[in-house]
Amino acid sequence: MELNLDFIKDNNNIIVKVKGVLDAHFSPQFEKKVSEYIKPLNNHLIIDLSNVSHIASAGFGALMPIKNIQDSKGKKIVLIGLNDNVKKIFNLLGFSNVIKEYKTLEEAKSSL
Amino acid sequence: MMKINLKIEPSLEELDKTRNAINNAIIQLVGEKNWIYELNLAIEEIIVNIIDHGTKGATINVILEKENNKLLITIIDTSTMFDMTTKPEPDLEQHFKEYKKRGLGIFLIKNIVDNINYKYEKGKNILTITKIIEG
Repeated sequence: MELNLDFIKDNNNIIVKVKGVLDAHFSPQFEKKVSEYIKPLNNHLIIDLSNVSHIASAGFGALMPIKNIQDSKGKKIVLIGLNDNVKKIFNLLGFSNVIKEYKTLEEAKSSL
Repeated sequence: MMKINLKIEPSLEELDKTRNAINNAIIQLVGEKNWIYELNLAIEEIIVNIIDHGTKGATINVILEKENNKLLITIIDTSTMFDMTTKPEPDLEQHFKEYKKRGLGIFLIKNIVDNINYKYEKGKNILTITKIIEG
């Protein structure tokens, strides 16, 4: 089992395609790699979770330092592709109040 | 009464194996249900808490049993005494304002299970969660 991150530049946006699970084991490396990548840049961030089958509290938590970086630059962070199970926990933990999520990439792009 | 006892590797690297073992055990006891994912997540959050706060070399066992319309899951570990149930409810607004990345696990567990009970007995932390079988 491993975590795969694909960084794609798309006009003014960065798309991060994530493959794997975001549990207490993989979340620290997810946070570190994404943070390091976006820090020198000045783009909106779209995180594609359509190939992530499982996100634990550590995984959602890892989004907060990333959101902090984006907020400090006045740039957005949005999510796409949450499966039903993941979305339920995302809502339950209240993350839906602070991070927007969309079904498709097109919807996410038009929100930015 | 059916009972399944699983010995858990106290390592974050083994979480995937742990999730699979617990998922299979729950299905064996109650069949396919739409709440299995979240219950398994609650158990994972408990195990992660034990690994994070626990003593090195401690053992973790998860015992799953079906009793009438209830699924009882007992997580027993040999770490130092640690009662995660006494942790106060987080102030979510403040939590997000401070960009905190940890501290929602117990909140999540309490929101998923129907009952949670902790005791420390003979050098063991014994945490029992109950899920009413429905759906």
